[in-house]
Parts: sequence; C-alpha cells; structure tokens
Amino acid sequence: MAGVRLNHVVKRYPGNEEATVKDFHLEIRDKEFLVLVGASGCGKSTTLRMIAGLEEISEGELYIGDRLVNDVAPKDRDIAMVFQSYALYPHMSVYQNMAFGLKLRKFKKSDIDRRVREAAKILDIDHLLERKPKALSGGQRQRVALGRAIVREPQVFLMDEPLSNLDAKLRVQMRAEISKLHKRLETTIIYVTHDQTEAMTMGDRIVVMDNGIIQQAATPEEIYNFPVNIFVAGFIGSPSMNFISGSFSEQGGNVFFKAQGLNVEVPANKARWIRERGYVGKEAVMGIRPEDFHEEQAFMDNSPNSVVNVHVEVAENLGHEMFLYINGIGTNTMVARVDGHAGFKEGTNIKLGLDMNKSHFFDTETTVSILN
Amino acid sequence: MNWERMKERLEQVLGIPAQELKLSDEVWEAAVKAENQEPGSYKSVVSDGKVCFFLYKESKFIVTLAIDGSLLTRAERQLVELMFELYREQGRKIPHTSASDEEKRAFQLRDWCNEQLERGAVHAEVPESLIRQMPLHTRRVPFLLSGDYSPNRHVTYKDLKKLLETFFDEQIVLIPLNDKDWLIFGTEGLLSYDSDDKEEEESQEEALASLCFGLSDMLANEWVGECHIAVHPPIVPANSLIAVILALRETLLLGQTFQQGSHIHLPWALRLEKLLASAPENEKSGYLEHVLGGYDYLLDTETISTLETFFQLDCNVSETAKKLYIHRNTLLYRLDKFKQETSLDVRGFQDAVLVKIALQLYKVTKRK
Repeated sequence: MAGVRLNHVVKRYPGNEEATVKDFHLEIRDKEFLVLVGASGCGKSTTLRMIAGLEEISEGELYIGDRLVNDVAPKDRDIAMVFQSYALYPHMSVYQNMAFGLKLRKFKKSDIDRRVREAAKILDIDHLLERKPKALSGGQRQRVALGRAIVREPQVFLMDEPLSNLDAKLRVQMRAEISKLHKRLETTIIYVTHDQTEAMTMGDRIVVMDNGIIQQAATPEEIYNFPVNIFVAGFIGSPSMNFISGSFSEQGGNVFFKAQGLNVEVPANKARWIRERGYVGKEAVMGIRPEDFHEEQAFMDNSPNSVVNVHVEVAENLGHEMFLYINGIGTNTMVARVDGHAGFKEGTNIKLGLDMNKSHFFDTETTVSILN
Repeated sequence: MNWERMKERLEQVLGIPAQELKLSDEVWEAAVKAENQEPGSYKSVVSDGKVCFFLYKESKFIVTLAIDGSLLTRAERQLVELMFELYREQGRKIPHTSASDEEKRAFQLRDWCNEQLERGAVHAEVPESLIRQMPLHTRRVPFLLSGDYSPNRHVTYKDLKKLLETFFDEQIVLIPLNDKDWLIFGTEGLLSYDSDDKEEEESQEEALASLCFGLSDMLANEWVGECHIAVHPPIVPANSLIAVILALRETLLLGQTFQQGSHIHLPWALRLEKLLASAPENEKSGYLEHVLGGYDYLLDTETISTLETFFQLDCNVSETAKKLYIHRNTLLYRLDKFKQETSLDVRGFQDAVLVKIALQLYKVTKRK
C-alpha cells in the first residue's frame, strides 16, 4: 500500500490557453479513501487519469509511494483502475477475466486461483466464475470489473464514476460494498464522482474541484459544516444551501444580519469574527441549510431574534420530512426541511426560526467564507 | 513513422511553422512538371507559395509537410528533402539483428505495405514469399491499433505480440505499420466466443464491438496506455491487405474526427460521417450557414455536449438529463434556449436531423 503525492500538477491540452487542471497540490495518505467531486468538466477525471498514467502531466510531479511516476506506463504503476466505461473481456469467462492480469505477471497458478476465488467470494460472484460476461447483469459485470482490480492487490485503486451505469438501488448497494471493501483491503482508494451523496458517504476526505482548481480538501463533516466558499457551500448538501444577500449592522451591542424580509441576530462567537474583520456596515451573503430552519414553537421562543415570516409556495411531504419552498426572505425562493408532521399547507403564511449557530457568511466580492 | 514528432523537431530547428497538407495526385504531378523535376519524383514541390515536402501517399492524395516558401533558402529545402528521405529509409530497415525471424518477416511485410500505399496500389496482392509462414490465406479479423503514447514509453514488437496472444489466447499476426500504428489479424473464431446464451445470439457487429472494447480496456491497463482501435469485418488478408489497411485508416480518421473522446471506431457506426466527410468544403460551410445561421459561432462545449447526448439517447429528455447529471428542467431550458436562437426545435424529427448533421459538419469545418 502507498500514498500518492501530486506536487503542483498542471494539465494543459494543446490549443487550449487555459489549463484543465491548475496547480493541483495534494498528498493522499496511505490507506485513505479520497473522493474527488465536482461538476462535469471541473478536472476531476483528468486528475485521476494523470494518476493512472492515461494522460501526460504537463507540469509538476506525481509520486506513488516514494517513486516518481510521471513517465511510468500505467501497467508499471502498481495501480488498478475501475472506470465508468470499463469493459470486460468478452471472450473470457469471469474467472479468466479476473485472472488475466495475474497471468500476465506470471503468478503461480495456485496463487492466481486463490486470489480469484477470494475476491469472488468477497464480491459474492463465486457462483458466476464460469460464465461469460454477456450472461451477466449490469451489477454482476460491475463486480467482475472490481474483482479484476482487487486480485492485483495494487498499491492504489483508482475509480472513476464506477457506479454511474447502475440503477439507483444497485448504486446504493454497491456504494456500501465498496466502503466495506476499503475497510477490508486497507488500501488507498482515489474515487471520482459527480454525486455528492457518494462523496459524503464514502470518503475519508473529499476534494471539491471547480474549474480545474481544488476548492477545498477536508473531511465530509468539515466540508459540510465549514465550507470555505460559496461554491463548496452550494455544491455539497441536498437540497442546496440557501443564500441571502444583505448586510451587517450593530444594534444594541449585538451584530445583526439584515436583508429583504430578514433581520436576525448573529451569535456572539460569529459576531466577534465579523467585527474583527471589519464587516460591520458592509454587505455579505448569508448561507443557511434547509435543515437549519425550525418550525418548533419552543425553538422560536428561545431565539426570538431569528424568527422570520415566510409564505409557503410549495409543500412537498415525504412522510418523515417535508420540504417547504418559501418566499419572503431575500429575492429567491428558499427551501426549508421541516418535520413531516408539521402540517404546513401551500399558500399559507408561517413563522420559522433560523438556527443562526449553523449560519454561514461569505464575502460578496471574493465569495470566500468570512468565518473560517 | 512518427511524422508529427518530425514536424515538431523541424519547426524547432528552423524556427518557422509547418503544417500537414494533402495534395491530390494531379496537383502534385502538375507541380513536379512546373519545376522540371523528373516525373514520379517524390521530394518536394511548390504549391500556392508553399514548399510541400513529400511524407507519404494516402489513397489518391500525397500527404506533405508545407512550409512558407519565402522563409526557406534553396539549401534548406534540399537539406529537409534529404532528411525526410533518410528518415523514410531508416524506417524501412529491419529493427535489429537479434530480432526473431517472425519479427523480421513482419517488418518486411510492413515495407511492402508502405511501398504499395505510397504507390496507391490498393488491389496489390501480397507476394507469396512474404507471407509463406503467415496464416494470411484464411479469413481473419483485422484491427488497427493506433497508440497515442509519448515517445518515452518504450514499445516493442515482441512485447505487444506476446500480450495480444495471451489476450486472444491464440496466434495472431502483428504488422507494425509505423511507430504508432499496428495491424493485428485475429482468427475468425474470436467472434464465436459466446456459447452461454444461445437464445440471444450476438450479431457479428456486436461481437466485434465487444472485442474492441475489451481489447482497449486491456491495453490501457496492461500496455502503455489508451489506444485508438478500428476494426473491419473478417477478410482474407492475402487478397486484400492494402485495401483493408486503407479502410481501417479511413475508419480511424473518421472516428478521431467525428467521435472525439471515443477510442473505439467502428465502420458501421460511421456511415453518415463518411458521407459527410466526402462532401465538398463549400457545401459543408454552406449547409452550416444555412441551418445554423450565425449561431454556430456561439456553440459552446455545453451546448454541443447536450445536443450530442440528446441525439445519442434517441431524443429522450429523461435519459439525457440523467446521463448529463442535470435536472430535466435544466435540459428543457437548454433546448428551449437553442430553439430561440436558431428556430430549430430538436425535439422534432426534422429539425433533429438537420442539427445532427450540422453538429457533425461543425467538427470538420472548425468554425469557432
């Protein structure tokens, strides 16, 4: 097993003025499950392909363990890849598919057999070993592709959207399987996805990318609770964080955030930062997650300075929870997640409390968090 | 032969830009005559003020490297001619004396193929002496492998042949066409691998496509990286070797032009593209102008990718939104925006066909 170090790595394609990946600098620890997440075209797959050796590195250095591998062919990097567009070898059985890489590396037959059967058992495909790929379902094929990677016992696994061709139910199941596999194999995994739920549930650490740049690299909890900028705050979380443009003011020794339909008190610990950084009297963007709206009367009684009047445009009841699409704060429609039994109706005016301890504030110009 | 690398090095040495230019046989011959060179000379000619150095012959065209004539002295022109001649000769040599007989025969066959290709002898039959010990008289599945690898990744005939024979689990014929292009012949038996499910018989095209995808995946993992692969239905190589090389190269070129991002190029999936590529340049530009008006200048990557995915998925809105990881309404917004700009509603068959063709032509006319 080994860590991976990307030292100021840049990827530039001929004819493109702007680099696709810009100054990617990160150390991935041994046995870490690292997830690269971002929207299409953000550079996450290109980064993974550079680690795999499928794309040349324009600038910078890439180390797997202590070995500089910029010019090393994929087969000699001691990595195993499972990509979205994986293809099984159609003329070989499942067993042969999994054994092929080992056969090439001249492993003893007994070792090959042991590794293939062990991996097949882990993946619950041991009853399919004699079948040809065409006779397998999508989920089974995906497991074989994983098995082909596992038997190699590589230093690093690279996975690029490996679940995106599966249906929703199977994807959830395989997500858990891969997490279990990581714990069992104790190896380094670098995993690319566009799906923030996959990122949050699978990664030890998440790297959020946008426009070829690392926006934030941190644990899922840190990314969720302390996003460094508006992009990360809006990208992670479903439904997305609500944003309100407004300004800070000092009222009776406390800091308040004022916007259209809103005048809420900022908690003391956050107010200290806002004062120290000279934001009082200035504009900013407040971020509040849907679950940080509260409909309970006790909450509103305890925090009278964070209560807002809103109009319910749409109410979606999912049973255990309810999404309210509300107007009245700022200029945009916002989403609040409340208890499924709250009984709110569309077209009514209601009061909601904001958990200001969970609020986020960002600089209007730079979009960077004021509080971090 | 790695002409791209040669071009880069020449540009560095001379400090002036060069570009690959295709001249028709007629234009080449006329230019040879105009300079009083010997008929059939393949060195360099002047065409439209550019000195065009002969690289190789491709079907009815001469592929040349063109340099602005005013930037080259006579001595420099002669030196470049000499360099290309030596480079071609070096490429024809057998690689090394320690190579196996089989490898030597493969390189001899390569030389013969390149000579026929340079002459444009499409229907030339392979001399028996060259293929005496090669199984090329029976039907074989031809693949053209084009490796987009950097020069510092060492590639040998022996390693690739061994890898392919392990993969196919049978003897194959491997012919190195140049530094990066390899011709592979597998047996027709490769197509009858499927015996598990008799109810769902796979067509020959499906079987060939599956083999190509598997081969591509294997090469990315076990060789020097990703490669472009073109395939052709089985043929008897001894009778139609040059024709199949040309057909595979055409498929590869069409695929690389029209299917950017894909590494597998199947001739039956490129029929429309083949037809479009053969249209005259003014017809292509005229069509684009007529269908898209001035809007083609505004076609961004997002719009192109949205429309291409929409067409790939049979204009199915839900499937396209899913594939692009966007909300259905976002997709509808993008399609509506396109309709407002161009008056073309791609949700209707007629306009979808017009736009599909326009998108393909857009890739070759490079208007942006």
